[in-house]
Formats: sequence, structure tokens, C-alpha cells
Amino acid sequence: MSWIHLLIAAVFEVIFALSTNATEGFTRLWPSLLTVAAATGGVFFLSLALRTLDVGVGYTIWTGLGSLGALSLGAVIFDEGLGLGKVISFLAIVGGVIGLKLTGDSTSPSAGPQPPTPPGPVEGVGPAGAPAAH
Amino acid sequence: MAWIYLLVAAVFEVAFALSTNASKGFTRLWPSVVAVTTTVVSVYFLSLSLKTLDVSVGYTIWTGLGSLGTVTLGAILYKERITTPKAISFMAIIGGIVGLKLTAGA
Repeated sequence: MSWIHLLIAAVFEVIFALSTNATEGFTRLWPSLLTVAAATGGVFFLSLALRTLDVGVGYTIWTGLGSLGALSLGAVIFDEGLGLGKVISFLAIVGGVIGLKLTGDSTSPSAGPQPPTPPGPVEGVGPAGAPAAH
Repeated sequence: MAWIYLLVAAVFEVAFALSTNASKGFTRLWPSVVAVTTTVVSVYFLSLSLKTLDVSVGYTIWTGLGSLGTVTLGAILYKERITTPKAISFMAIIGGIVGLKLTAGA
């Protein structure tokens, strides 16, 4: 489930990056509201993912997939070419994410054995109006 | 001066990641307050540095240092284990981010 949360957080991060571009320095209302909402959603889902994932793994994948998605969609939207350098970088990020996934959902050893079925998550309240994360 | 701002921004970015981790899904008050505060300060200092630095360079260094610091301090503070396959994966992702940003232009 934490990986699902992390993917959702990355999707919010991509929306955040693209809508930030559209705000033109936070001078336009709707893109600005979307930016703040996407940043809040991204950080909130990241925090959910980090309840079980290592922070090093979670943060790195979050920024990695966010960059990858934002630049890929940006390339499609703004009709930029996809050069060899970009393709190699793209594959490096995807390979790294798969590598981290394969090396396990391991949490810190100091956390001790995890109960097989943790109780239902206590839903916290996201930070109201959290500003831009990235 | 822009580089000082960028370093300060990266330090706050690492503090943001670590406190978000400690907030346990924003169910704990003080780590949540710290997470929100540090991300505001981080973005503010990033924006100061971007007044003179190129955005592709500034943003890349910001997230790159953020990842390196988070992985390193996560290992120290939270005893997160870094195996060789994990280290290679981290380097692939961080290298990929740098590569994407540098080939994307400003």
C-alpha cells in the first residue's frame, strides 16, 4: 500500500510542477489554487508512504518520478524532442526505482518485527494550505 | 550569495523530508508543524537563489542534495540500511534527475 501512496504522491508532484508553470509567478488564480492543492496532496501522500517506507527511499523516488513525469509531460505538451541524453536519464530513474522496489520494502531494523496486519490507518488532517513543496 | 541560499534551501529540504517521515502521516503535531515550516523556508531560499542561478542548475542541485542528505541522515537517524544494490539504485535515480534537468535546458 505504501508504494501506491508513493505513486499517488508522485502524480500530485507532476501536477504541481506543471501547474506552477501555468501560474506565471502566482499571478493567475486557478493555476495557483491547483498548485497549492497539488503540493498539499503530494506531501500528504508522501507522509502516508513514509509510515512504512524508508525516508531515503521514499523521498528519492518521489522527486525522481516527479522530475521524470514533469519533464516527460512537459516535453509532450510543449512538443520538445526526446534526445539520447533524456532517454538515458529516463531509463536510469526507472531502473533505480525498480531496483529500490526489488531490494525490499524493508523498514529500519530498529523498528522491530512488523505486525502482519496493522490496524486501520488513523487518517490525519493534511496541512491546510501547505505551500509549494517543490 | 546565490549558492549560499541554495545550500540553505537544501538543508531545509532535508529537514522537511525527515520531519515528514517523523510526522507518521501527519498524525503527530510537532513534526507536522516542522514539516510545513521547513518546506516553506526551503522553497523561499530556493526562489532567492534562482534570482541569479539558472533554474535547471538550481533545481537539480536542490533536489540532488536533498536526496543525498535524506538518504544519509535517514541511515544515521532512523537506522535505515543502505545495501550495495540500494546505493546503486539511489545513484541511478539521482544521476537520472541530474541528466534530465541538464538536457532539458532552462
